[in-house]
Amino acid sequence: MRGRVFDVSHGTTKDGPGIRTTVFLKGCPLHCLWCHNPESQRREAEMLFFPDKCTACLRCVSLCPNGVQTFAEGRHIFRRPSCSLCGKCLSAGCGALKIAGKMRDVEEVLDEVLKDKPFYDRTGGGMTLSGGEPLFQKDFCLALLKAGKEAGLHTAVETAGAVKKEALAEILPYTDLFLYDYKETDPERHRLYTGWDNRTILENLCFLDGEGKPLILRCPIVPGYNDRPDHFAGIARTANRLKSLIRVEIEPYHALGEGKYAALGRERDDFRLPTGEYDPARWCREIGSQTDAEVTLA
Amino acid sequence: MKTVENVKTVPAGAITADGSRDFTSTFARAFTRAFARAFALADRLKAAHLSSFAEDRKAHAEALERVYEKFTEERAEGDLLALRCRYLECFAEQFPVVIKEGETVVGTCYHYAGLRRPLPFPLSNMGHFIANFETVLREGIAGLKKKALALPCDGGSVEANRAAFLRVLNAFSTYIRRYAEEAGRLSLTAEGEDLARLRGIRDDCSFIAENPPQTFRQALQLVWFTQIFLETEAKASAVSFGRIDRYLLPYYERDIAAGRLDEEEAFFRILCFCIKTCEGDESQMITLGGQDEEGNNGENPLTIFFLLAGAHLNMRQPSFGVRVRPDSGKDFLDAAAAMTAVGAGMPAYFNDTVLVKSLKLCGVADADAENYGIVGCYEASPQGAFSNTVAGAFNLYDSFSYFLAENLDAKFADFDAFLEAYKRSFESYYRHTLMPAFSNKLAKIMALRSPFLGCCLDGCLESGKLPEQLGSRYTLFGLNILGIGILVDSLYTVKKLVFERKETTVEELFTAAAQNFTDQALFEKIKGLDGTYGSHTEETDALAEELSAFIGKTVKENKLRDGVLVTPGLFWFTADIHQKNYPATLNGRRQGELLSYGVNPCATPHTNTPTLALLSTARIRGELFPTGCPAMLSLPPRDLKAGPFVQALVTTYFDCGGFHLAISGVDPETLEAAMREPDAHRDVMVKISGLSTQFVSLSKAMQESLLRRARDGV
Ligand code: SF4
Ligand code: SF4
Repeated sequence: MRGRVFDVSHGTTKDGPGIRTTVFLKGCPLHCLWCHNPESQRREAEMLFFPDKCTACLRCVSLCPNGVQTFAEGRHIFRRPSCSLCGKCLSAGCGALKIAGKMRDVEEVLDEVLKDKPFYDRTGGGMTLSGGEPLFQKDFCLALLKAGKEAGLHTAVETAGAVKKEALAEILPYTDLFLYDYKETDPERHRLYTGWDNRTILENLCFLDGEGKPLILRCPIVPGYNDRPDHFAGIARTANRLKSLIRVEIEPYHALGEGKYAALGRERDDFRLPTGEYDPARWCREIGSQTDAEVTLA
Repeated sequence: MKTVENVKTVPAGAITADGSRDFTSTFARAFTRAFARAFALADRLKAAHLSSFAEDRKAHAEALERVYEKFTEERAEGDLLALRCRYLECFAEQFPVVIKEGETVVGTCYHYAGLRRPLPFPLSNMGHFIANFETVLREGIAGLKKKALALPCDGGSVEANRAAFLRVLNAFSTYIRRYAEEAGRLSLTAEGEDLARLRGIRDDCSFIAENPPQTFRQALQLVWFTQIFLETEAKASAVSFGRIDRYLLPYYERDIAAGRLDEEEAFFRILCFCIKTCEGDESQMITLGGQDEEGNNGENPLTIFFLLAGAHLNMRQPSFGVRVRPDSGKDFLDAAAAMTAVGAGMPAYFNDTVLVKSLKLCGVADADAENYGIVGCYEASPQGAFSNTVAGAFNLYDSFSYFLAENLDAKFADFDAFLEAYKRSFESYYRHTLMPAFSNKLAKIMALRSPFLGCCLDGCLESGKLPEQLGSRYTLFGLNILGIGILVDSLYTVKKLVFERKETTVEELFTAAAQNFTDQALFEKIKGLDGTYGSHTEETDALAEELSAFIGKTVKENKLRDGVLVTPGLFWFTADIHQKNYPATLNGRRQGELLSYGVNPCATPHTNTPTLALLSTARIRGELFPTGCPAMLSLPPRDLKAGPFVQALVTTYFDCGGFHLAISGVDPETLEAAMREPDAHRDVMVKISGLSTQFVSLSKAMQESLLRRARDGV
């Protein structure tokens, strides 16, 4: 069983209990305006080219068999459509070129994850599947989780919930914890910001809660978009309804992903960089004051 | 990964928004509340110290010049030993005695840096030892003198040493007595609290100028005076304190039981003591934790006091090392984590089990091994031994270059045969090239004379011999070995590309490296290798294990001299990994790029995340290297402040057999430096949205954004 993985990150501490390894699966049905991992959105592999890291050494020009890497008037031109993603130019090792998304075997990924076993044993950590939306590659996701459970790992899945309930039901027995995204309370805005309405998402959340699965609610807060009192109240209301909730985690927007849109050769969606008040501690307090649930900064 | 020495501190004040989960700061804050007065007083002393530091240094330098003048004026003559005694006498009589406002631990130390004139006679020892403070405190100056007096007047060297011991002990006494007098003088015009303070100093100093200390204050004060004299005699760094929380404990307990002392006062004195050490030289290591005399966990209130004092002050001295045991207590680990959270790379964590074993394997008696202290940065040593932990040094890769050059056209059936041949070559290189150099170095050390140190080590006052005459119970010759990471990866390159894939030959690799890898195709092949050391891959892990075992064995098999224990360690000073002119190495490291530090993997993009790197370095056979197997980690501030995370890294690493771990923070300045000089900072790792990434590989925009985050905390 193979799936497309765009990163495996060891020693993470934000994605569930203990010290963990997070596997990032490529592809996502949503496209949130503020996405800071745009390379995770498409299912296919993609080339990232960072012009500001290019020192014009021309190595890639000679390495590419397809004439994709070219120079005109001293400017590096990357002809994206002709790129076959063969990866040959990567051996230039320059840092300006990166391919996101590699087909990998379940066993291979699991071996990589298991390298850190002593740390999981000590800390109650394990493996977290993230994305993209991991369930976008449901079979691969399922196979990885099964293999992880067989190897005795604690497993967590970070999902945006925009998937079929059946898919969730299928991975349920092999998942110890869900990190569930809650992005926007107002359905209209939800559609506007993410491309999806939030009905299925909320239904799925109720479903997981009903199954008694431990949940962490993760709320990206983007100033100027969803830092509104009604959304904060919505988060608190949802938290109050959930029986299996461990806590609410606030993920303040950061601009670290902005450069990647250009690197992927994409136009940025109509997204103004937040200019409003940036006060994560206040957001936490405001939400926290309306619920008994623990509210923390991720 | 980043080394501690060049990482500046992360501001300690920033506390995450959800204070409730930030457990290290909660711990530290509870402490701060309880001892608010002590902290406030110490903060004032610290501020005063910092503001007058430059001026003091200048004044001290001038004062020392006068000591020299006096010394030279007298045209002091005689052998080195007599000169050394006379010099300490001049120092004791001449060096100004200063008691500053609010000081409770007194005594001015000056560490020679910036002196315009060299000493008028050869330097003394090279520092890097731990006095036996337990004995010094128990005996007091009188007791030490009594021992010296008991030495026979044989008309020979013992008699000369006897006289020297007595001269320096008398000088020491004179120096302390001058403090008693000065405090007495100042007290004549003092009032209230100040009067009490000065009278205390006067009484304590006049008592310990002769007698063994009876109270905690006196003991602490005598430790500091002893340190001043050791540093004055040594003119070298890393004069270390050893297990201060153990040897001060009886005094503390007695005072507390008698109601002479309360916890806050003890803590305050410790803060004062720590501030005082900032007048001294580099790497005055304090060792905390570890076992008591019965072999049980010996952590105690003083252990915690020292850790929290150090965490709070966050000053350049002293250094702190903690002995972590499988049964280390929560308070101890929490206090250590509170210090780690400050971001200065302190404390250094040591795996007690491995260090004790390493000393035993070197021939140190069980009880002394178990009672070890840390010298300087990483070096395990019995206390009261003539440790010389930085006596010899070499770069491992030199031996490999030598081997390659000799074997360019040799044919090897497979990698095993190649490795075997390298090992034989190393043995001969070690014996014929390195050993003579070490012998020379030892002879140089042995030509020096350190009578005061002799009074503070085990065995010299008993044997009548100086440390340099093998008078101490233990004489060590520390060997610092650089570059295991580079060697493992270079061998791995040969294994993969020459013997397995057969894509090149040893000669081609050698030539390519000699040309600094202008051969791009070959360079890319090397750089493209997966599974290099630090990725926690069995092949390289096993190679690292095998090589370290082999090196340890070779060192052990080659005796330097009877009575001298050669104690190897896998590191050299940080500066030495920045050797600009060190030629390119087979692992694809170009000239000018960093060499690998300690047991750390090479600083290449192939280095994986901290956890994997640690699991690789844990395979190094630390028990063969008492002088240290340092592993350096740098973490983003958020992880650094997460006590449980830090503790998990440490304890898991030690479960797996790691020797030492230093954890420091990534600070804005480092990131800025990395943006300016990416090549020198390939080892700086940062986390973005949970992904660990090499900082220099990020786009400019991202780097800037991260820099902002490091600066502003968001
Ligand atoms: S190899 Fe990298 S640095 Fe060189 S021209 Fe291509 S993109 Fe630019
Ligand atoms: S991935 Fe292959 S086709 Fe695409 S630019 Fe690089 S070398 Fe050319």
